[in-house]
Amino acid sequence: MMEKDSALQLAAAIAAGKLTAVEAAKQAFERIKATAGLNAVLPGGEESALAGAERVQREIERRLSAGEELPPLAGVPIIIKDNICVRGFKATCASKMLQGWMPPYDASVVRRLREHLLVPLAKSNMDEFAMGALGENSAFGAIKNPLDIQRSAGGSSGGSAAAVAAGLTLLALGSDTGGSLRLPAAYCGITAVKPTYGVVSRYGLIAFASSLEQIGPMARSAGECAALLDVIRGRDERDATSRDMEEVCIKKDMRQVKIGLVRELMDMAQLSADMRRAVEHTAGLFRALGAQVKEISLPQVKDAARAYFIISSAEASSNLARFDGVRFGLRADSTQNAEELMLHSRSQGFGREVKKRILLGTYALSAGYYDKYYLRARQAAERLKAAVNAALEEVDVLLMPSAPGVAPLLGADADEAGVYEADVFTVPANLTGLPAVSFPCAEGENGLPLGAQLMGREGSERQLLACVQAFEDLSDGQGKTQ
Amino acid sequence: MRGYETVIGLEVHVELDAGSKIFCGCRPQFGAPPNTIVCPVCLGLPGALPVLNRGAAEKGIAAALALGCRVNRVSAFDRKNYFYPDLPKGYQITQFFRPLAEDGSLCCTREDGTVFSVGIERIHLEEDAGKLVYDDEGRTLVDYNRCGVPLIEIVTRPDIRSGQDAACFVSALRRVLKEAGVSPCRMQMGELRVDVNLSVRKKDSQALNTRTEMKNLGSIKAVARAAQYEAERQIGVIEQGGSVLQQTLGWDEELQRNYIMRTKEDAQDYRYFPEPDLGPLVVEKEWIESVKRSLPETAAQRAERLKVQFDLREDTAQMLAEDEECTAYFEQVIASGANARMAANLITGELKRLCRQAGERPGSGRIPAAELAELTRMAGQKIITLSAAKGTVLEEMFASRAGAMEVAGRLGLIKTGQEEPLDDLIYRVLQENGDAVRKYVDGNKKTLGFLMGQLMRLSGGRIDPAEAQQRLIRQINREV
Repeated sequence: MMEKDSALQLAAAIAAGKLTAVEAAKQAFERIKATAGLNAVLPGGEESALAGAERVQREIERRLSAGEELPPLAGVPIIIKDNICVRGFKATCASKMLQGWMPPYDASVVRRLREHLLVPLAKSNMDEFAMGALGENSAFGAIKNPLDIQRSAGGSSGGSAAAVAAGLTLLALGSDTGGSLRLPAAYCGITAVKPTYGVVSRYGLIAFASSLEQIGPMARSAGECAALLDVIRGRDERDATSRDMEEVCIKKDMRQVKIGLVRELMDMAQLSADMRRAVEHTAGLFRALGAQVKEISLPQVKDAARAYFIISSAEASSNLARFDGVRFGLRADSTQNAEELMLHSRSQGFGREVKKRILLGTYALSAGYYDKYYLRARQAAERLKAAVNAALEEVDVLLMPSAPGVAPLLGADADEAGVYEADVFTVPANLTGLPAVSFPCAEGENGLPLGAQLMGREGSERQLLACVQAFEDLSDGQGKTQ
Repeated sequence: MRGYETVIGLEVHVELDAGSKIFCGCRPQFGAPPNTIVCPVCLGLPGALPVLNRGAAEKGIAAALALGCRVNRVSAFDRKNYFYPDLPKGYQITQFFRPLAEDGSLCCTREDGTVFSVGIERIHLEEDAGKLVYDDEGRTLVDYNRCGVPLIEIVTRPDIRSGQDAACFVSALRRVLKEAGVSPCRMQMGELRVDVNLSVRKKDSQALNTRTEMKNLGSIKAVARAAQYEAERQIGVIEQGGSVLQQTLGWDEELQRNYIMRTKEDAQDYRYFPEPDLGPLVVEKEWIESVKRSLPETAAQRAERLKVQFDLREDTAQMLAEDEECTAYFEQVIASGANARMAANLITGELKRLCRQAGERPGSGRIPAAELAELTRMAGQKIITLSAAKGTVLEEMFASRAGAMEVAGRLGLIKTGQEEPLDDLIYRVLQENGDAVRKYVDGNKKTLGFLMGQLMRLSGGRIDPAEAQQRLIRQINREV
């Protein structure tokens, strides 16, 4: 029934009494069960979800009978990445370390979802502690791409992306530390927003790299992403880095919009030929809509992946120190003292990728190396930010690939440095704190989706989404093929 | 000590009386059942984030102002990373790179009235850790109630030269911080904890030698004793040709000696880096001004005010200002009509000495302000002599709690106006002691004391000794 519907239409149907929030939730669970092989959604929480749906339905009926207006997404079920705390659902970060951990509180974004009468439905699989670009580093097994189950759904919000792409729910929340919303969105052919740093509260997001990450919406269209972003955005007194952001002026008419193509990213060796063509084609479509497109040079992006890796690992080494087996999560058996307890719990609880990054981050912060690594990475990030902001004086948005190409095959023995280098397209938005929207822009090999992203000034989410909307309207008319 | 000098710097942790923990809304409560004053934030649960409680920052600013520090317009928080079961996040949030305040000083008065000043290097905000508890079955438990309690760490310059002075500084610091409402500073409740950094050097040297650190001294006495013990130990090591090792020590109150906690080899690398969850702490001028207005007058400010208002000498004003009670007493005495200088001198001099002997404080009110004022009036109007006022009368008032006039009358020290004129008395003394006068004229100046004694005896103490001595000498010189 909802293959072609949008979340807004589903909410309208619920408001019209054609369907209850409980029925919508139950139908979603049917779909989840039917597609369990994707490994996109983690088991558990069904009772909490249905109880939540019943509460929401009662509230919807109360408001309708009182003649009150309903929020635009009332009754719509949503899947939430497993690093975001939701009362009544385990929050494991797809790690053995947190297996079975029930958070005693809702993340601030979840509180807002509930206030807007959305229904938290289930938790999605992910790379352990959000570390990974392929959705393979999960203690609960790799996530499969619903468009081709041999392929990666991307990471780390792979479960959320796969769920939306498979139509399990129309909406999902993920998080993005270095591309974790945009990369899986690109691989699964959906749209995702990495908001400006601070626009969405991180309270209740289990931290990987605090200075880089944001929670963001995933859906099949710009309009749905915009509606969901409106629900979760805004200052939260529980997150000192959150703020209300003034919306930068929106140019809905593409003839007023100037778009920059970043030459250095287009020239990257790892960029596939069809991805390059797809971005150029996308630029062409924007031009057809009347936008000005010009090439921009940002040589600073060449340092971005390395700077990102150092900063994110450094912060992770500290953020993940609390998983020590003392208060919650996995605790190693038969240890002799506190030091052994912590050592063994951490050795047993964390997966390989997480351990590697903790070690790297610890090294980068150590006496004698702090200046050499951490500080220099910070400086590189500052230089990049200054350069990107300068570029955004000349143009309104930057158009870039979201990924090197289509979703890679699962289990492909990609060399690790290569995997990290793929981040080069997405990490600039995290290092600069600027918003970026990834959207499906074309089809590549085997008809698999290719994703492009638009990055803009601070607080310009609506502008970016307006551009994507204009692109959707045009390409829907023409078909998405090149 | 055998030509050595002790060099001491202190690190003092003070719990801020801010009403809530530093990064969450939990309200600390001493003695609460274990793990009842906790929330996701101070327990460091996954996903929880800290938010600075402005009240804690405000108490930090108050401390900085009370210690004459410069409050930085922008300070920032950092993470100090280490693993310990009482540290739930695996790091402590502190201010390492950019502290709240820097460059202050505190003036301290020793028991003998001499004064020394200690530089304050920095004051920074941080959170407290939890507490390990050992139960009867030999298990180690953790109580997280104290986790996230707001602290300031005050770091002094190495300006202190003895354990006694270190103890004296801590007393002065407690007084100032209590006055400023920063903290009740009850050491027995851990509200003020002292780490002592100590090294020794040859008296004329300026070198800063290898130091040891004594952690968490829980009383002022322990500060003095541990420092004294450690200074002697270090001198002993050097005297025997050894060298002092960089160590962290603890003080064993029962054995009255230090023990080694860890040596430099196992020094931790705390991997400090900027706390990404908190923005910079910006303290605008207006905020500082409003804290300043809310602060009670500090001892230094009081001293300055008394000095100007009553035209007092600097050291007298400082002594009066040392504690609030004493200042208040002085001001009551003035309000009762006393001469300011005379009252100030009496209070900081003879009265203070009497009080010290009796284990009381000048402001305790044993002598009512009105009576002390009366005493200065009597001396000022030469109803009694100043020396009698400062001496026997004050002593007797202090001892018997009687009024000035009553005491002076009882001791027969009130001048009636019908006494033999001073010159007549001098004449009689000179007549009756011809030998002594001759000896004096011959150069034996000691006999003057004898002649003065005779004169005071004849007068019954009702004459002013200074004036009498002047006139006595003049008369002798005239006669010769």
